Amino acid sequence: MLIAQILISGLILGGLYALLSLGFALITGVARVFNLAHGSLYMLCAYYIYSLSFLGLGVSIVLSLILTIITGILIYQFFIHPLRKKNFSAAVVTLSLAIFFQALVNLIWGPQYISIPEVITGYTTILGVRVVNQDLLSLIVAIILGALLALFINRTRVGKSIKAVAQNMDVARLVGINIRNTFIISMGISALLAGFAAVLFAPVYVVSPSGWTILFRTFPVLVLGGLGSLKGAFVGAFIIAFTETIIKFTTEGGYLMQTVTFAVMLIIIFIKPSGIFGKKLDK
Amino acid sequence: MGITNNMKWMTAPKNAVFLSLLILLIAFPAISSNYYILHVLIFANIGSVYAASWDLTAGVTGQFSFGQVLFFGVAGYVSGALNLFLGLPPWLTIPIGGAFGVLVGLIVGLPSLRLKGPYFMIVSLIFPSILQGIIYMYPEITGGESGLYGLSPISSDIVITYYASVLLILISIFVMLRILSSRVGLIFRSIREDEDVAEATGINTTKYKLLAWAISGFFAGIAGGFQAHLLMSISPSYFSIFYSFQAILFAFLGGIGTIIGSVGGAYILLILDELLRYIAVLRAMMYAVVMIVVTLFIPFGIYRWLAMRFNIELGTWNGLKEIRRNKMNGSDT
Repeated sequence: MLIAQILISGLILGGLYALLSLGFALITGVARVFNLAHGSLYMLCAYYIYSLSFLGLGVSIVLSLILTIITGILIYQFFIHPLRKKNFSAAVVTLSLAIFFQALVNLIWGPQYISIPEVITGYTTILGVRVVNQDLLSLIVAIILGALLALFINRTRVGKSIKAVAQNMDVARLVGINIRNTFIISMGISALLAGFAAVLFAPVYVVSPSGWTILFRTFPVLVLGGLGSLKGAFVGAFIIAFTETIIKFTTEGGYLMQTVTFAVMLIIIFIKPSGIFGKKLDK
Repeated sequence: MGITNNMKWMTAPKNAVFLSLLILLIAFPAISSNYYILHVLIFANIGSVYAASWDLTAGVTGQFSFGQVLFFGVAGYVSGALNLFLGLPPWLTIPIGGAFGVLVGLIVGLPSLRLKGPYFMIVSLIFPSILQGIIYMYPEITGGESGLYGLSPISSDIVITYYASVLLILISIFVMLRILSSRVGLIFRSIREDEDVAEATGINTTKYKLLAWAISGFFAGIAGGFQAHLLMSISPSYFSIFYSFQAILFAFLGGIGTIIGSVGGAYILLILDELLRYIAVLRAMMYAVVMIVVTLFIPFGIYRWLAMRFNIELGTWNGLKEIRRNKMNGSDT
């Protein structure tokens, strides 16, 4: 029973981490900046759905995803692109943006938690554990999105150009790839993934203005998988999710949960800074 | 990392502006001994020392970190616990807190020896969260979520507390400025400009980076201890990312790598902060907007901007010496 519980909870949490870290890793790998406002995209998308829900769930989700992509591209265009070569400044500005959005959302919608409607309702019993259908859907969609992203990056022309820019920007430019467009497309996909995370997981994990801090929980994932590595982000998400779930179910209070995963992250950084699949990023 | 090397900002020590500000700082209680105003200024003094301590590792040595609050918070907790459980007076607990700041500084400094750029940034963002977890784990010492309260105040008289904070800022900033313009400061800056070159010229960069962390930890620590005693309490919210962000913001606004700029940044923003006190949401927004505008438009900070704009000769005590030395070496960068 406990093992089944851990298995299922771990898989679902892994889905959330995978969606969030894939988006973050994509923009980190391509543009070589930390977009600390990535968590804000997740939080904002949930609030978009919340505000647009009078249009009906399907319409509000589609519109919110589009709005999230636009928000992401605007953030990139005005705040990240000018500071692309200044690693720390870009991180500071995106962190400022995250704090700004938190205050803005707080001002408009108030500080209380909001919950958005589930895409599907009800629950299923698997291995004697009751699982909310929304959670099952989330896990499946997360895996499908991960696979689609892999197909997109490896099979399509645009995807290959993203890969090329991530590998070597100068050579990519030489062979005629429009670097700026590639960045913007990557940012759009990154925002879309954050939006999907909100659509799928925000109904279960309620969202508040400080919801963007969920981004910090994906840092161990990114370090484990290797900063900027998509494969690493996907695999790492499930490893970290299982670690956290095991600690959560076997210790009291669960205060240790993040401390342990962060400590694991530190150890990985010392032993193998490039992570399991990572290439070494330069400054 | 985008630090302008223009030395115009530290031309000659014509300290007219500087000196009058110093006199204002010392004589302020004679102008107004309003409790509320003095309280704001005490916070600005603490904030200055705290931001300058971040500047010493980031702006001067080039080790950009998001985790300065760690030293501030740990020292606050150590000071608080010593005062509460052993009954030690503030003038003793604050320096001991500073010593713990040094210890934590060395611990944080260790990863910075191996990790470059993005990796270290992530680690520094995470460190305070690890500590928060530890605090929740041992509620009997740390007070858990409610923290420690009922610490002895610095002094029951606000004017005396104010002078204690003036002493704190004068000594700390003076020492840090001396370090900045000393041989050690030169080595710190050489590590910032190019660590490999510094290493190649025979500098033990490991030793000097750890030294920078230790000094930074000490000053952030005494600022943290001072604030804990001032507020007579300390809680886990001390470790929120917002406090680290504050140090970065003060230093960025004033001008990173100048130490003295942090003082200006802290004063401007904390006074603005007080004006927005009753509109809490706007405060956070103000911080974010100022930070974005500064980083995008005046990345070298107002201290250098003023110096260039009005050609005022703002300088540090040893600024002149430094310019002379640079001129003698035939370089102006």
